[in-house]
Amino acid sequence: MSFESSLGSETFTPTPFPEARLEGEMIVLELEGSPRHVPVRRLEPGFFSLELDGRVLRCAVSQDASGLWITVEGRLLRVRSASRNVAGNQGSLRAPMPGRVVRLTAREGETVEAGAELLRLEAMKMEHAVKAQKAGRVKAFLVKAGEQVEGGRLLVDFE
Amino acid sequence: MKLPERVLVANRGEIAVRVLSTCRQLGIHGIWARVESDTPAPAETVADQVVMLEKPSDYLDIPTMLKIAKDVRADAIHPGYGYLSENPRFAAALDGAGIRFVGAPAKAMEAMGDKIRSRELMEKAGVPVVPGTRDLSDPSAALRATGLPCLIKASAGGGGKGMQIVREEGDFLAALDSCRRTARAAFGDDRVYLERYVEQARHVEVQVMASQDEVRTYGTRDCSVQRRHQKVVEECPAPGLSSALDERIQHTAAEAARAVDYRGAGTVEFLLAPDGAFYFLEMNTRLQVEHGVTELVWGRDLVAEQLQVAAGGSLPAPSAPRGHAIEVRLCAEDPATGLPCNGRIHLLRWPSGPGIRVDAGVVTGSRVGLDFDSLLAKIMAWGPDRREAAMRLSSALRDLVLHGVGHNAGRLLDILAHPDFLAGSIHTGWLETQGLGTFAPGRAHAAALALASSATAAAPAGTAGRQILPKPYLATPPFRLLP
Repeated sequence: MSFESSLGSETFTPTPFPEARLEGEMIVLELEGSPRHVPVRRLEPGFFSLELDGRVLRCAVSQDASGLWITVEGRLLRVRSASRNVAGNQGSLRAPMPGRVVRLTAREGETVEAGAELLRLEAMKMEHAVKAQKAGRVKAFLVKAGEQVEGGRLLVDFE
Repeated sequence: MKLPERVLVANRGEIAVRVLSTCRQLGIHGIWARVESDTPAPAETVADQVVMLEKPSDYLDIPTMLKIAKDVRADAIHPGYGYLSENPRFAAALDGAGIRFVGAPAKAMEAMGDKIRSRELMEKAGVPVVPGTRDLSDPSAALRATGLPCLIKASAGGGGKGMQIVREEGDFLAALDSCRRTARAAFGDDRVYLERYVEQARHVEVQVMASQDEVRTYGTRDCSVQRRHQKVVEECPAPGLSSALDERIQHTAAEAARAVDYRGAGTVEFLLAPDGAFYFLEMNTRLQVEHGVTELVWGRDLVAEQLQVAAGGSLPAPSAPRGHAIEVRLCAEDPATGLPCNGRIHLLRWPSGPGIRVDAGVVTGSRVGLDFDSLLAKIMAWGPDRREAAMRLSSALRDLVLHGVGHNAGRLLDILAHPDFLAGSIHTGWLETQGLGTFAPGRAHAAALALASSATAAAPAGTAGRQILPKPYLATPPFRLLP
């Protein structure tokens, strides 16, 4: 099973993570080429603790339709299911947050520089500019001004 | 003095719970006004009665609230904060209907609600205000009177729109022009005013409580950790002030309250400059979000005191402050980007322990939408001193588990552990310069992910482990606990 973790409009596979696998009741972390054994203590369902670098860390993990929710010592990591991020060309843009489309800044068919504002979202009284990740052409907008969009929704077909 | 018997709470989230809890303790019948979709919510359980609103904007609608109050035979309304809490027309409308408004007098709200009028009133009362002027007929004379660096602000404005910082005399005219243009476009009103810009200023405020016989202050608070002008961390008392300065600020706040013949709970906000000079910013004529840290240190129930003052009564016996309390605002936001997000909470563990207080506005199953503000809960810690309070609060945040909507607990932990914060040397611009937002998942997260992945691989989603939950939570979308 593969996952992508969402960082706003960019998605990345968890490559900054060290490799990790489960062997019995021990997690094996591959750190700088050498394996490190991390003991796991299972608590009630969804909760467990790890022992890493001499510290006991409390963890909670659950899964809903959006993907995995991982808390380690209060710090939350969301790992979205890869299936949510299908379709869309390279450079196509997803909504980094749910909100209302304030305006479409660029025009369809327009060629823009990297960093150019393509459209603007608003939520909780906050405006957010969605920008081109790289130079290219706006093939089509997949949303209209005034429309309410979910986080992760494909906004622009970009090439 | 006779306390109200039936109180309508015209608010939602954690503040509705806060007010209803006091009603319950005092044996007052608490009625909560909510929109249908705002369920499950903790206020439902604390309220004795729930009444439906049609839409979220009803919280701002005076005739609707008045009609509901009459329908449920409320003899008082508590507005919480925001919404109608600082609306003098609402207070007047209730007065006309013989219903008590648990808040400030309409006249005090009017006087403090107008930035320019309150500034003039304060100057007259001998309360220091930031040097500045409205008279721009001779721009260079206005600049000389204000001094550099200065701020140009739109008179009609809010939220810092059009605001310009001028550090060099040569930039002044261009900045003035720009501010006027923005103000004209945004507000249809190009009047602007000048104000000295206080660099590295702290936000220090004073809790005021006034009855018909006296004006009391319950110490200072520091709310300098801010993002986009929103408070993130608050504490009581403001750290590092000499007792003489702390007393002087409190005394000045009491003078400000007396100048508008204040009643009830209010907060006088000041800018505190590094040289110890302080200036009146504004007075919030309501209970504030951060009132809990004051309650922890002073051992008081400010909502109960509001109800007593609204009933024309006197304040309970004074108390002495003890120790230190810190609060963080747990908000719905993407932990990676800090942007707003929505969702539905499927797993929730609040921290507890010595000195810990959680004022929460959500329960398992709550929808966090974009209709309301992003505050999920206020997490507070009291300790015998500031260091201990910070340690307890960090420990509480590490115990927190909230899944189903993104939140900022990791970022709050970074702030609490930062040497600048621990030294108490924070100014209002500090957080924006820290770049504490970049979240790097650690090795422990990788290990936890490995465990979770092995569990998801063993049992494909949707087939095993679906939680059977009691009734109000049945609508919760399928989720499962791993491993």
